[in-house]
Amino acid sequence: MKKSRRDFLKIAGVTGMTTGLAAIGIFGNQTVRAESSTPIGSTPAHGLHAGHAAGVKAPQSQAPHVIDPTSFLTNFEQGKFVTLENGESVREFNLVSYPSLIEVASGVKFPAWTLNGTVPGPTLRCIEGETVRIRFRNGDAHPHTIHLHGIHPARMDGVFETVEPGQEYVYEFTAQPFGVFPYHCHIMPLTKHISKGLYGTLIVDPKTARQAAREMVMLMNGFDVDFDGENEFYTVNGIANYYTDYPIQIKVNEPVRVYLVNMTEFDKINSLHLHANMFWYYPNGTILTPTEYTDTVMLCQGQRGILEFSYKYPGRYLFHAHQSEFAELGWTGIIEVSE
Amino acid sequence: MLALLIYSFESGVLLQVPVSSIPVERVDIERISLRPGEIIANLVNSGATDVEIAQLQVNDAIWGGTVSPSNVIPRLGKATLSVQYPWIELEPVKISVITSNGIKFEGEIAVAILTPEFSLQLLYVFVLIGIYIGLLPVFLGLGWYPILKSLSARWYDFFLSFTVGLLVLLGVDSIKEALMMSAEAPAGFNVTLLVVFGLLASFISLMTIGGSAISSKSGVARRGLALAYLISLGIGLHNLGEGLAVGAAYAVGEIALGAFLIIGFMTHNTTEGIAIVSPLSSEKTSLKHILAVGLIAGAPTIPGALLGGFSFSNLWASLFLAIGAGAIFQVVFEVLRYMADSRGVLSIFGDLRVFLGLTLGMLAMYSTSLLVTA
Ligand SMILES: [Cu+2]
Repeated sequence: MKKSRRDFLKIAGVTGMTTGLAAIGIFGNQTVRAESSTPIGSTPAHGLHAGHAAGVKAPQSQAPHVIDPTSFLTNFEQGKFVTLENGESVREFNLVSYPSLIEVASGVKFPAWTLNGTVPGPTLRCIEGETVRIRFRNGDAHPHTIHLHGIHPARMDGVFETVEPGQEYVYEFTAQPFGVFPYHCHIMPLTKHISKGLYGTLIVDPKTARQAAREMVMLMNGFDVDFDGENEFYTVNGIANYYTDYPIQIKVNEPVRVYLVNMTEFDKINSLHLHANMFWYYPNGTILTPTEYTDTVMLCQGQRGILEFSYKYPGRYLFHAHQSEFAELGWTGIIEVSE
Repeated sequence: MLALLIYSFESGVLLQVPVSSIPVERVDIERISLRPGEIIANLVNSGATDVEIAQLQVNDAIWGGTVSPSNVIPRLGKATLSVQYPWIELEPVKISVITSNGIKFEGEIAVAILTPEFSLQLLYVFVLIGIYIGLLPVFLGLGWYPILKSLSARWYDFFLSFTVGLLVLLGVDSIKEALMMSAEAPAGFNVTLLVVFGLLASFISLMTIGGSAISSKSGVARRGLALAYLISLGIGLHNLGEGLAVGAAYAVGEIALGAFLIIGFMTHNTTEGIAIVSPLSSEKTSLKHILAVGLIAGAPTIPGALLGGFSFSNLWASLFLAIGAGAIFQVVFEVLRYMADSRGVLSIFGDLRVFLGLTLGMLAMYSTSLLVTA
């Protein structure tokens, strides 16, 4: 039959079908095993746990959460200091993962796996040499971890220590070196766990602070809203074209520092191009002298850096991916420079 | 002579056809079912040679699994692939198997939901589906019998033409669906040709059997009844194929048989019942016969839905739809011949009632078909 009918039925409501079946309780649990079988291939050994909550119906999302990229842009979580018994002071952050239906483009909802309710997760900020604690609680139905970039012990790398649903894990490490780093879940299948939204930015400031500037974080990502392995939308800080609708406000000659991170899944690279201006570029932010004076920077997934610039003339200026395709799929914004 | 020939080949005396170094491999992923944390895929080797499944990818990432009874599948043989995988509800699942020669074959579930396991309750659900989309609508159509009978005999040709109109579109629809499903069936079985065979074979066999049964020697009443039986047989075969397909689609979560769709199927298949009783409208027919034709036409959706739900095969669904189509076209031929009677087939056209009947019949089938498509 009827391909067309089936197609229709897909629209008519898969959910109706599931609930209908569930309601009359026809899901059995029997497992049939053939007498002989041959193993093929290999399941990735790290970051996957036998107790993976597979095929579990995801809990209904908490109230639809809307990220506000305007405040996200300049919101740096400082954490809070806790004093240990030995008198040592530790900077502590709290991250909790849970599913949420988030808006990724005007009117388009995406069933994301979030950290603290947003994609990207919060921007964490600390100072080089500090002892940092990230208290991660997994409030999702799937196992997750927080994998950190930077230098730290193996057990703080967030790969083998799977955090099962409902469990908690504390990542404790000395912040080193200074720079800008992505953090993200490292559970297999990795593509899924990242494309669902479990990532964010960690900034480690040098002991001697960088020169004062208007600072902002820009995390470049994509959203595969139909789960076909390709992104339908590209964004900076979570909502397609947000900064075109709500331009970023700066002043003429105001020094600006952008912490730029690329966590785009599925595509090989992403990029940023600044209009009518040039910027100093510090790859990874791990050195204090820029390596480039440019208007375009290209990053692969996980790559990041710091941009420094100021605008000489007032007006409205575009910034966007210099892959036109991405620019036209949401990765475009406006900087509005006023006197 | 034969011994000599075998000897020649075995000894290499005769020139042998060189064997291509790249064997033509083909693996079809027939059915994917989902259990908690597990994906089960039925593999069919429909290629020209044995294949060895060497690697597995799930959603384009290397993964591990087991193939039963063996990862070497003989030609036209079957195997079951089992994968422990944390699939996510309502998202797609794609399975790719890669043979030892590096050939990749894929199967996909568009929207993942738990596959219902066999249970008495599910059995009941499929019987219910069969009744809703087949038996009940056909009997609703049969219910028009008294109305048809009460009308003037002058409208008899109109209703027969109406039936022809309905059946022609139903037959064409069956062929379309059979061909669409044959494209998804394992290539090694050449199901498209099988569809053509099923179509023509059923047409020809019914011509042979039916033709003699409805020979003009029997009385008019007998011929009307025989026609009704023929129509119900054709529709029954069609409904068997339709039941197979609906059952299968339901089992893999591709359809939700909501109230709107059930009503759509009912309206659509009610026309089938009308088609059956039209030839009976000029004569007195016992309730026994009415019940019998109704069962022949409507009941096959029940075994169809059951078979489709628990072990679906595009091959069988295509074949039954084709056989049904052949039967339906044969019935169209019979009805036209019956109408023509002594007049000659071409003479029935030009009658306004026949024109109206054919047109309205086709329109009725078309418009009700919209209720069960997007
Ligand atoms: Cu994860």
